Amino acid sequence: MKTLLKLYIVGNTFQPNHAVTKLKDICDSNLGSDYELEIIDVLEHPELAEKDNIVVTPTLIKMMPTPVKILIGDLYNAKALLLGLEKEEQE
Amino acid sequence: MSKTILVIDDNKTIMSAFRFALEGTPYTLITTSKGGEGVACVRSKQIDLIYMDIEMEDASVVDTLREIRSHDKSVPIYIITPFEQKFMDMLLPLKSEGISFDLLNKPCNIDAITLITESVLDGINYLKGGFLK
Repeated sequence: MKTLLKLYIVGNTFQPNHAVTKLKDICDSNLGSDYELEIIDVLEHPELAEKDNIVVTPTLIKMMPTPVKILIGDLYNAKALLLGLEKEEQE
Repeated sequence: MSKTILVIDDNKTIMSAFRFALEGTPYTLITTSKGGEGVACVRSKQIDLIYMDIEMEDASVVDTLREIRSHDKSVPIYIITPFEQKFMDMLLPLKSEGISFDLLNKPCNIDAITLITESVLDGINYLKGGFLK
């Protein structure tokens, strides 16, 4: 089943382009093409953050497969991220 | 050396929540109700994490953030704000200026403050959906 991820950030979250690129690299390496990552800027769409009960940015939500999981903190640490997503890191 | 957290907020309820959540932890907590004092603190001390209310009695959040970032470009800063468009509009000028910050939804509870602080200063947390709110 395809992994569906939502990333809530502020446009200028720490080194945003680098951070998002790193997150995509981690997903590409470990999930292949079997995932979709939706990136939402809370400054532009606060209503979406409210709807998903977002408490803090950045927040990554694994929407599918269930159960839904929410990760905050250092989302760009591969081992920790994959632990949260219940995936094993590829060598 | 313990990590130091600066909270800038003139709301007594929110300040009490931060004190309750963070006092007795390994972190050093510094609090002030004024943006100007917060800027002075950043200039004189090593600060590892900043929480700042979007509304302060003596200064605008935008000006305060600009001043802090002119001195320290890397310290994590969380602006405590309701996730409503009128407040986001206040912050949009900072985005176009490339000034970095993150957001903490208001009102925030003690569990959220603790978890977010630990996640920022000590690494990732994994949370079950809906736990924080």
